[in-house]
Amino acid sequence: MSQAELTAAHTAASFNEDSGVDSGLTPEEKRQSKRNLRRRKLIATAFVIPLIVFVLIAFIAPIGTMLYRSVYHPTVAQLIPETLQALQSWDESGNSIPDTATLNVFAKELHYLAKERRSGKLAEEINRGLPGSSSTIKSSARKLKKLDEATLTSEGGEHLLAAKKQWQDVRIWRTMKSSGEIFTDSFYLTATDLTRNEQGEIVARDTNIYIKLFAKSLKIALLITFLTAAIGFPLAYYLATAPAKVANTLMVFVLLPFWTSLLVRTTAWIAILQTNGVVNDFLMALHIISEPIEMLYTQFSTVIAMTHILLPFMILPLYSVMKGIDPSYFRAALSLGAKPLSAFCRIYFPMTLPGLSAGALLVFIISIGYYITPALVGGTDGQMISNIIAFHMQSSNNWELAAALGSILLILITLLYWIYDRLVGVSNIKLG
Amino acid sequence: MSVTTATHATSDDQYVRFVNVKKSYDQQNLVVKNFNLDIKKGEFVTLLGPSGSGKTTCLMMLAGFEDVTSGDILIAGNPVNDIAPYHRNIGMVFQTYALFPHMTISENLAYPLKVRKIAASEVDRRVKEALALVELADFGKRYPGQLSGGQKQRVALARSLIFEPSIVLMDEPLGALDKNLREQMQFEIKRLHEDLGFTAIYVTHDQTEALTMSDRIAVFDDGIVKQCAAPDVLYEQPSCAFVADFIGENNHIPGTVTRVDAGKAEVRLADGTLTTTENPNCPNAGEDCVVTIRPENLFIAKEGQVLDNSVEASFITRLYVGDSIRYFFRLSDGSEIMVKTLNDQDAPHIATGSKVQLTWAGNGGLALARAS
Repeated sequence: MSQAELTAAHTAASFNEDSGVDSGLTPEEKRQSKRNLRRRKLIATAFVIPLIVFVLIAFIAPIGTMLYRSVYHPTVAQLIPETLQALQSWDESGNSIPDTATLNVFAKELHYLAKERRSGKLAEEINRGLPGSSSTIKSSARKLKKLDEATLTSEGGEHLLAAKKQWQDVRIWRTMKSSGEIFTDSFYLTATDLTRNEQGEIVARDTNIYIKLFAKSLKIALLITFLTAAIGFPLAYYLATAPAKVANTLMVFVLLPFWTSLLVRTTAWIAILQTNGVVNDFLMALHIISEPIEMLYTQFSTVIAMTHILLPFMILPLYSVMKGIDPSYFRAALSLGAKPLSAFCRIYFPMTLPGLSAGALLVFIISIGYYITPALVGGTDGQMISNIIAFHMQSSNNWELAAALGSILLILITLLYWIYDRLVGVSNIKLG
Repeated sequence: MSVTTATHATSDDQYVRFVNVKKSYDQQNLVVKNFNLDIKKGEFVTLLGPSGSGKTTCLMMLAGFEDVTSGDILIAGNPVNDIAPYHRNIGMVFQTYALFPHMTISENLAYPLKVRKIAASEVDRRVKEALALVELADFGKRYPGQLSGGQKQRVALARSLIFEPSIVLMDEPLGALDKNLREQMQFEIKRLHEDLGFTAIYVTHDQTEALTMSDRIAVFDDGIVKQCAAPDVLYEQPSCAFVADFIGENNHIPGTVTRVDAGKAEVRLADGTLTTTENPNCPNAGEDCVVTIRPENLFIAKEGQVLDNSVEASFITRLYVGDSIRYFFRLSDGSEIMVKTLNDQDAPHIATGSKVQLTWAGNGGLALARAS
């Protein structure tokens, strides 16, 4: 044994002697304990890794991309970089169009875009900022395409102005310059029905599309939340108090929707509500109505179908909370002299709040962003904000606006969640 | 209605009456079979029995949470079958305490007063009084979740008493507490009962609890009251084998009655030994019976120290309990028997399998009809 080892052994031994029975661990025991702790932590981490990876890939990354896309818009900058460079020196607040040199640069770039068949893209982008300019750009591009490069470099501006008189209008140049910015708030302005006027100030648009749609989605979501609570509460109460056999059977019926496709359930409502559907045929057979009522493709059909689809999300948390409420609470209240209604309101109902709020939060958040049901049965009247987001993603190809609308929806939900937390307290929620 | 007219004369002796009460949940089986009990005003009566024997059902019927299938329940001479629970003015303590978790202790206590529309100042005064009564004066602002089991139980007790009910029902109120706390609470409940003089009806399956607390105990088995008597009577003179077995520990030795005298019976045990015992409900001569002997009345015979009866047994094992030692023996007919002795100098050491004489006095055993 070396001197050092001896000393170490001695120290350890004396440590033990000095410390006595009640004092701490030896260094070796401490190391062992730390090793065990580390291993437990490692195993615990391994268990949650799939969840974290999933959240990162399917949640954080897409949301991050969406937030980025809602402000990042390089398309125009990539199409006409030189024009935008030249426009830097131009004062857009004045009433004169850019100088001839800038016009020449633009004419040349438009010529190339036309040759590469990309002028349509530019037309689409500018048209968003200034409706009507699409045809201006397209027809000018066709004319400039035929000219050669030398002509364009020297007198491209003149040809441009000659091609369409709209090029004399200062607004198209303003739009071109502003849509050339890579980072922009214009999509958020559009998404909240705002725009910039000629002086660059933010003003309200004449038409309120998106605010109205947000308000309508909010209203529908609240209505659905209220309806599911009104239907779900008594049902959950019955399920929680019924004999096990009855409760289990009924629970299968509650869960049944989860086992059938969402599409099938929604389609069933089409069959029920349509003009010559089950409800109308039945009412007409009974001579209650003389001609069919329009029920499908209305807000009514959206609300009723979504209430049906989201009902389990209300019932399940309510049921699990109610199941945990000892019936002796209610009995105790009665024995203390409270009448049943008062005992229900003061004793039973407050105890169900964790379940009710969990259910309400679930239903509300799911319904405000709901897409498929309003898309299938909603018609124009029953459309919700997610439908217009989908429209911008798929049809109008305006992903940036879709991203801005989606971000606003996200912010809205986060805000409501925050308010909800202040009022009810998220820690009170019980999901099961 | 001879029942009601007769009760008025002796209403204090028959303050709570169960008259031929039957209860069935499924229209087929009776959970409570013809229950009769008169309870004096201010009395502490315990309903004792194994779980499922119908004792809690009786309590719930009195509280009004279960309806009576047939028969009458009377309080102070008035039938209460059709009176809603919230009009019965009966205090109730639940096994789970049933303190409202979203209300503070003070709010819990104030609740029965508020539903009775008592003035706020009076409510405050009585809540303070009640908190002091159960020695929790500083706990008014806390929530039930912040209290220990014993404290919760005391609040539950205070809440059931605060509206001054004449009857307080307790449904296994100490079932969820550990042993030390339970003993402490038994004392507390007795103190409150003696101080306030309410009529207490207590349900438990713990016979020790029943013995220490009650004025009278009704022993339930399968919906029937087997015996209702004071604790000492139940322990020393059980009327049947079930009660003898359920209250305290007991040894059963099967035998056949050979002769019945006034108060005494002669029984031949399975191994042929003749014994004489007390005879509370012994069957006729020639029939089967059991001789029950409390473990503390049974002794391991030493040389020349034989009491009235003795029987040969072989030693199995002994259990060290602390203050006492339990010796287990087997009789020649195979039945096991237990002897309890104080853990003192005399506690013998016996080799496994060795034969000893077990001996008991004539008044130490009872001859009882065999349980069917």
